[in-house]
Amino acid sequence: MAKRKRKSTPAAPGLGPAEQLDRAIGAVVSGTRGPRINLELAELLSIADDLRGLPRGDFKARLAAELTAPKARPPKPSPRRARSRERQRQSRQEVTPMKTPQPTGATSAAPRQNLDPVMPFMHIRDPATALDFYRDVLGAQVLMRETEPDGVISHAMFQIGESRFMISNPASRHLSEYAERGWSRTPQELGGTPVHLYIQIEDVDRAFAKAIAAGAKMVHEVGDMQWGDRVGGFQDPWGHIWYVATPLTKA
Amino acid sequence: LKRSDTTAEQNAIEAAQRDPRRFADLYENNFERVYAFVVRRTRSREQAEDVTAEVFHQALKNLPRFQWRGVPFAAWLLKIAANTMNDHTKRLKREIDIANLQPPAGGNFPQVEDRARLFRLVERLPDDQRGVIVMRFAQEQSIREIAAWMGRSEGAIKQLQLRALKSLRAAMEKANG
Repeated sequence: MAKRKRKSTPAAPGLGPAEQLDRAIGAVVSGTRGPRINLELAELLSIADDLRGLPRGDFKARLAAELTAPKARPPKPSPRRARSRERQRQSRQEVTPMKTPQPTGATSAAPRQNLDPVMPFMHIRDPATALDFYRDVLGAQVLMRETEPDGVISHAMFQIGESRFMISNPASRHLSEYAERGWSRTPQELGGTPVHLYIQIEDVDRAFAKAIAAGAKMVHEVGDMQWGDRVGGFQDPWGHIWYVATPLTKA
Repeated sequence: LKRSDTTAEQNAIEAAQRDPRRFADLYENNFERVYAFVVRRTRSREQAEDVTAEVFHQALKNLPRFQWRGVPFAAWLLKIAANTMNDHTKRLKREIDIANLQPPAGGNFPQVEDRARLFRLVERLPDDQRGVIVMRFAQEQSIREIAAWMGRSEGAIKQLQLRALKSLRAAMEKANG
């Protein structure tokens, strides 16, 4: 922990610890002289000082997604681009965060990602549990999660084999306007889904059994199909219908 | 690193050398370390993010040539970070404190480890406390802005901030034994 020594002004009488600490934090942030505080609050102030380097919530996930798509690496920023980004950042800070829905789930400063030609965009009200299901049943790897300050996941991206999928959460503040206009209804709200997902996986029998055990409903029993795949269909707990398939040459 | 951690890290490196998609594990284990090292030595979050991104892209690119010599993988990443920051500052033609950019010798970097642990512990806070910490420190918002966003009073936000920092202090003490 970084310990700071700075001249202090006397604490204002009658202030509670939460107020005293906040004033001290404000002073550290602005680089001005802070109020005198007791040892316990000084320890907390030291932690607050270290937290000033806390990464922004979406940066780690954006970089993780970028690393999985190496060709999408943006060029090194020139000083001019850096200044432009700083202006963009300042501009972003002037508006209420996340008020305007952004269908791609990217922030305005996010680098362009190497997206697939077609990428299903699934509406799910409980992305955290759904991601666990897709990981356990289909071997999905989570590439990105965007979490709002209250802990709700607004967007996520995951990959199964070579295929990537997006999730958006109509219950998040970020998508509230979409939800109000009826543009992000979940299968449960629609009473069904007009689009089914057909994916190739390593072991259809294993995945299908895991899906049923994890609460999915059977749509189509696993069987060999004339077009050369062994296929099973199920409806996941969020109403999306999947057909998992393994080529008969592998199965 | 404990012996078991060392073995796990060596396995993770070898796995990523065989299959670059497994680099995700190394990234997950070291992101906070690199960012914690970089953010205190750069002038803005944007620069810290650019440098951190470049470190991991270089690491991914050069991983096949990486040879395990028992030094934590993070030490290699921090060396890349120091070189990257050096390049950035040269490009910007600004005077810098070169000594401040040297990576910690021998993989011993308690301050970086402490801050990285602190950043990870934020993720384990209760939702409302984490929200306040993220908005206050990562998004640099005022108490008033946070209060408006969360629909609570400024006093309530200050109390949440106090509780969150106390929780983090307790968690850090526990983690440090």
